[in-house]
Amino acid sequence: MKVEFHGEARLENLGSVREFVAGACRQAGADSSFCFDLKSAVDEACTNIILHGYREREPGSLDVCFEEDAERMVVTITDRGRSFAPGEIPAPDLSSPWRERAAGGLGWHLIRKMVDEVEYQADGEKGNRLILVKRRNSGGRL
Amino acid sequence: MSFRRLALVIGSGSVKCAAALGLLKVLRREGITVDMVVGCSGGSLYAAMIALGGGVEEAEEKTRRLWTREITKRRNTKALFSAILPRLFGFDERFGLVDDRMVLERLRAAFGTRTFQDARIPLYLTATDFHTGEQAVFSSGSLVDAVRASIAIPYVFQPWRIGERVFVDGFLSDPMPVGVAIKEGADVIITMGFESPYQTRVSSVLRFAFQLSSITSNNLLRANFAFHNLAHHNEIIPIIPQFREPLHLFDTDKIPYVIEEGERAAEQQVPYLRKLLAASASS
Amino acid sequence: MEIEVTHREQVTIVAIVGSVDGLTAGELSQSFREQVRGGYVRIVGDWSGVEYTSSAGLRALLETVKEARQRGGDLRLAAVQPDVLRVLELAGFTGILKLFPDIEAAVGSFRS
Repeated sequence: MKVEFHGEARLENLGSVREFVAGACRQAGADSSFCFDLKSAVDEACTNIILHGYREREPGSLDVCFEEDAERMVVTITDRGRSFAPGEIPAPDLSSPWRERAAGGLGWHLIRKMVDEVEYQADGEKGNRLILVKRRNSGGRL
Repeated sequence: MSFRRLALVIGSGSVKCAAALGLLKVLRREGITVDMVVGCSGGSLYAAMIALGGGVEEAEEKTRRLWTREITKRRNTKALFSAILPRLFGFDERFGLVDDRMVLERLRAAFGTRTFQDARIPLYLTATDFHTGEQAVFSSGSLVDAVRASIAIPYVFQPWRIGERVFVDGFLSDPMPVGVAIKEGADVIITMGFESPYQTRVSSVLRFAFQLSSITSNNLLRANFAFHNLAHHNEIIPIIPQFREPLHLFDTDKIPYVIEEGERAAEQQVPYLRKLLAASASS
Repeated sequence: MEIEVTHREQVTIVAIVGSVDGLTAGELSQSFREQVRGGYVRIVGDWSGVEYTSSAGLRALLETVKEARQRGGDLRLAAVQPDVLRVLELAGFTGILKLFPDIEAAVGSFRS
């Protein structure tokens, strides 16, 4: 199954994005905790993109693609805003102390906890792609 | 109008926690009263004694009688057998290599049947729920139970059952539970915490296990401390005694030295502490 | 997201219905701030109607709890839903904030 959401990178659209992800996830057969986690991670990621990627710019596109197979659900978020520099997406380092990085730090921490893999591809032409993967067997709760 | 509650947090650190007595000496000398105490692991012994209102000499004496090498002398043979032949001897979460009868005896000698009600100021002791990993905060009931749960050192003393739950050393959920003081309404927080020692020679399986445990707990200590600093509305003053020599789990004879270092470290913070409390009183 | 403020026994109850996210967190912060600056520093956040809280909501909570405590009060939460509770746990907030199963318990906690 593969479904897409196309919208503008505006905070007003966060609710719709969440509904889209949660709905697709449920349709793909995951339980409510699993869907809550995935939608949370997507919301946090989109919020960061809207607030930082498009800061001081006209809101551009924000596309969310949901795909799934027997093992996992994959959400790919594509935008055409400013790319995140490698250091801006904190690594899953349990030993690094809490640091609020431009209002994004806590959000990334939650994303890391809610999904299994996070991959980022910055491309000036094709846009930035943030890929969140959540494995079915990892269950709804941490 | 607004008074300021001063909390004292004593984190895990076995004999190093005696430095809290040095800190207490200094506070008493300066006429500064502590309104709340939080203790974790070794710190829970001192937190309890301080909250019960005893003097520093009395507490020092009590610790010397309580915390000696003898409490880990007796092996828990059943546990050893169950480790090697779990199905035959039955293995469960209450695993500990040391027979805990002596430590219980000593705790009872120190605290008797006293409860949290006997504490003169609010007292909170932390342990860790063995099954859920959550921090467990004790503020009522038997002191012996709470302290025994708090100091249930993994592999050494078996986890302690209270009612339906099983508890293990507080340091596993947070080696320096400043969060408890924040949650319970403290304003200025003085905190004493110690990093777990790293092994010099990894000469046994147990030392290997302890090294891993130190790595995790030190990282946890730092991460939590940074978070608590961000989350608290007032000052958190860390008191970090410098020890010139290595201190091991049962170096009870070094307690006077530890207390001295605690005093020294505390004295350095007194001017700042006074300023903070004075500023609070006038606001 | 809707916010309703009521008063009970010296305590201010701020009830929220909906989602607290990047869009709505600012409004929530503003509402809390009004209460605190107006001298209402004993606040219970009724979270029974909150179906989602993102890190933006957590920041609003943290800001408020600190301001309230600075003024001798506190912000306590009531009836946090299971999924939202998990977010609070992951962020370490359950260690620094008091949570209660319902409003009565939360209001009652201010009595002592």
